[in-house]
Amino acid sequence: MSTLDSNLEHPGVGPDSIPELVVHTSSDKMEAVLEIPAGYPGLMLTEDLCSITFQERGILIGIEEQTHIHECLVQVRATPQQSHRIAIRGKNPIHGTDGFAELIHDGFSRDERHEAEVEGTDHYERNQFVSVKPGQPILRIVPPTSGEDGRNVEGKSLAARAGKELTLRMDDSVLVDASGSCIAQIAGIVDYDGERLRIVSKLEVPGNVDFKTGNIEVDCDVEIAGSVRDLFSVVTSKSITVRGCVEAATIHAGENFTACKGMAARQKGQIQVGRNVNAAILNNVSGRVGGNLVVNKELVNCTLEVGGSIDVSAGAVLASSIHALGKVVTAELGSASELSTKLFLGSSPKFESVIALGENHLAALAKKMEKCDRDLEALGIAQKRGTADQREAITEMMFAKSSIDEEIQLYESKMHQLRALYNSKKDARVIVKKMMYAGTELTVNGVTTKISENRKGPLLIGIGSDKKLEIKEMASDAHLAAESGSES
Amino acid sequence: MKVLIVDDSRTMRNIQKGVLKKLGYTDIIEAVDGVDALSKAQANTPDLILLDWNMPNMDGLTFLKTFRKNNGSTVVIMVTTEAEKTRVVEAIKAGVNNYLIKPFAPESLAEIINKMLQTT
Repeated sequence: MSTLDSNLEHPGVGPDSIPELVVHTSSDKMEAVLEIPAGYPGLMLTEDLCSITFQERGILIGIEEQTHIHECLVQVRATPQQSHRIAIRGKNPIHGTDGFAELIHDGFSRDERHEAEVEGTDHYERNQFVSVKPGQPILRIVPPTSGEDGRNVEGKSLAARAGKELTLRMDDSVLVDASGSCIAQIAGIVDYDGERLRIVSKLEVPGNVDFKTGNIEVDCDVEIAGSVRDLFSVVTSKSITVRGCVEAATIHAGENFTACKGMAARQKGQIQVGRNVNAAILNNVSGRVGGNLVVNKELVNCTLEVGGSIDVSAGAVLASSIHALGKVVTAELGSASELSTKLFLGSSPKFESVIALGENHLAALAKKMEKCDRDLEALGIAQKRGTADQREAITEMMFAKSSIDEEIQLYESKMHQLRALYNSKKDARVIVKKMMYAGTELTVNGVTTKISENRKGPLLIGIGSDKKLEIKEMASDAHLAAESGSES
Repeated sequence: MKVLIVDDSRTMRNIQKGVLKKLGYTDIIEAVDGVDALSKAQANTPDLILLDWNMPNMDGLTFLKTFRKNNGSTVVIMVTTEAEKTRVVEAIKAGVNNYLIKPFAPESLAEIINKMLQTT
């Protein structure tokens, strides 16, 4: 059909009356819009026409764009009486993400803000310190991503910005493996601030142990600049030093415990210390000290078992119940108001119970051995003439006897060491430098002697040749000095 | 060093395992009879075999004769209640390297193992 014919068929619709299709491009070239005026002849409005119109303006039309044009034209054809716009959009670049540290260790998993909102949260257990052992993973360094380039409507590539590597300063206490995991090389506390990662072998608490820190349970030395507040606990297999005072708290130290300003536990606090304790004062404290106890001022209203010596040579022991395996040196023993003060000399119930357990076990092993011997004797005649089963049974019993014998030898050796240690520490003597007050009870070898009147020091209390308690006055300062001595 | 223990008694196997572990041998395989022992010996090529005589399915002597057809160098110690001289000779002819009669003390087994492994 010619153009003239089409004009005759469609009067009023000719080349001059077909409006122009106009494409507007945004200044950033991220959008190009084709304006379709209302009433544009539908037959002429094809995908190709739209594509060519865009392309004449330098707009890149690929498969995606063609599909989009096709979908738009469906709508246009449905409502030809309206004007329409077909928009082609560019793609913004997706910038890469920076590398970051993914915290792996359980100790990092607590969200303090979340915890504060959750009912029933035990605030004593909010431990802000992350304790690690050698070989434990702490965090993983996640590498950065490079991102994805974009493009504008003209097809020009828009470069994505690559992410930055995370730089973490570390020392020998941390090793990074092939997967980017940072592994602790020593036991201690994680020191991580986003830029530096290391393990410190001593936990230093700059303030108090309180609701800010939560309870502390670690495997390294602990040094607390402030105090330990009521009902909190500090537990470690190593040593604890508290520069402030310890209130009604729980202290467990595998090694030593130092309370620079003392401990006032109000009968709620307690200590379990593997080695030595050094305190300004102990007031209302209960527990056990494996080694020696040194108190500068006074030991009052305490219930303690001490596996070594006790030195309160500048102070007083009063209103307490104390088991001491080693020597006790104190300026004053008991109180003027005759409050009950009990001292068990040369005694360590815990140590003694361990020895007793060991001895019981040895006795049980000896009985087992006797039974083995009896059974073997009974089967002994079968050695040459018995059945195969009997001979196998004898072999089994011989092996059992051999195992029991090995165990007995091992236990005997350990018990020997234990008894030697006990005997080396045992020293059932008390030196009272100034005054021993009436009301004091001294127990030695199970026999208790109650002091009925005040006695002025210096006094040496011990076991006499008759195995009974003996109280002697020390004649001279030299004698006192010699007896007091310094304990290792 | 791989050791194969062949005995139908679990207790006896455990006893021998205990001795071996004390001597430092930890790569230990167990078999409950001659048939089991043949397949495990083939799969694991042990350096030492502790072999019981009286077992179900296939006894120790039959196993030894079959095993020795292709394995001349593996040390085999018979650990058994069979004490009669003729039986001992039979075992030696079949290729056993040494012989230990039950009942025995743990030290005896350890001594014989050490002796055999040192001389090979």
